[in-house]
Amino acid sequence: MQPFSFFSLGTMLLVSIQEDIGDAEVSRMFDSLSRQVSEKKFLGVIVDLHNLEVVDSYMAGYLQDMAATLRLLHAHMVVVGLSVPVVMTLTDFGIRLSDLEFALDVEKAVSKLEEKMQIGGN
Amino acid sequence: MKDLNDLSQDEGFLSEIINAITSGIFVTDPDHNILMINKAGAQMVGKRCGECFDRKCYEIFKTPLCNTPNCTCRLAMESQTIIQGQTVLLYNEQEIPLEYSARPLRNYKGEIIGCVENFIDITDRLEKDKIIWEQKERLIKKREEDIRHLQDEIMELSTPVIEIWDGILSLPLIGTLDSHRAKIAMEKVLEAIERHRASFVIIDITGVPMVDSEVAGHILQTANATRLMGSEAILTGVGPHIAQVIAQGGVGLENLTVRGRMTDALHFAIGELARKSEQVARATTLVRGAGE
Repeated sequence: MQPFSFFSLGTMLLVSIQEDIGDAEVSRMFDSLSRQVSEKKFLGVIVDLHNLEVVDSYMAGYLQDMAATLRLLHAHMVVVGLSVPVVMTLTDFGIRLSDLEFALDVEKAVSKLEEKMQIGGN
Repeated sequence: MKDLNDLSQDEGFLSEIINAITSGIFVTDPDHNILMINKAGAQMVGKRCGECFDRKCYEIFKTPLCNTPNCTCRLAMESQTIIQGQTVLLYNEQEIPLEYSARPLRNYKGEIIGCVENFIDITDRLEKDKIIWEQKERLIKKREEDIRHLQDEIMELSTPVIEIWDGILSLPLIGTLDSHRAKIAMEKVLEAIERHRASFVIIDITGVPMVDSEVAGHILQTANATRLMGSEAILTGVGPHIAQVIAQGGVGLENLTVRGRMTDALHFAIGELARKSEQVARATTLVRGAGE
């Protein structure tokens, strides 16, 4: 079973990542995600990380790349579900993730994306 | 003055006294032969006085000092002073801690003709010392624990996170902010965000008197961590001095919302929340309208 799953929410795509995702699988998910967004014209992507206990610099780098790629494909990305320990660790390591958007939960992410799409004229 | 005739009687009386002393005493000649020993001394190695006479002291008593250049008697005789110290007596495969003192013995001409050594078993004393030491140790430990507990308590009190509106938290920081306190404050804020699902956190630093670049870094770090949680930090109460420090720090301010007073921040946050819920309501009506 692959350690990630995609759910389509109309114009948005919800990506849920499981705890034990490896580096190779992250890269596979990235490919699959960009293809889906490009083909099905999703305007927003919500990445749910609440199953993750560790977000390392590799994962952080991938998230940044993902956001940049999606922006080029005309889609916004919002990350949800970072836990307190994960945030503390990221802060300790000085990983700021300043190019990313965050939301408290999927519901708030949806309204955030909707707002962005309205501004974007969609 | 005593008569010479009394001497034998006196000798008996003296040996009575010496035998009555509870610490061990023996006298050796310069060749370490035991000339005299009292009862307590012989008993310490499980012997009677008679068994010890004319034997070498190092045959009777075995300590790490015996038969070495550090032999107490030798030192006392050579230096012509009193030698004192502590050692252990090896007897019956046990180590008995001893405190000893050795004093050179002179004849009427003032020549050194031997050495008097007395020693006392200090097992009990060491044990008592140990107990006292342990008690002291325990007391210090407890006091340290109390102090730490109080520090935690103060820390808890000094970083209150209050939910001042639905979905809006406030963190009024008061007093000096070191990295330890900043970390605790950050952790508490993040936990509160998770618990209350708060969209906004107002960090008020009116009560922080001194801000150097390190403290500024902590504040901005907290703001960034808040953003990673999916919430938004609003910084208020920034004085002119602090503003300069933060600006000179060269830290990215792009994700930081700043308002002058707590009131302004609250106005802003409530306005944003209202706008968002309105938007959600509008979206819902739209969806409903499309559905009908």
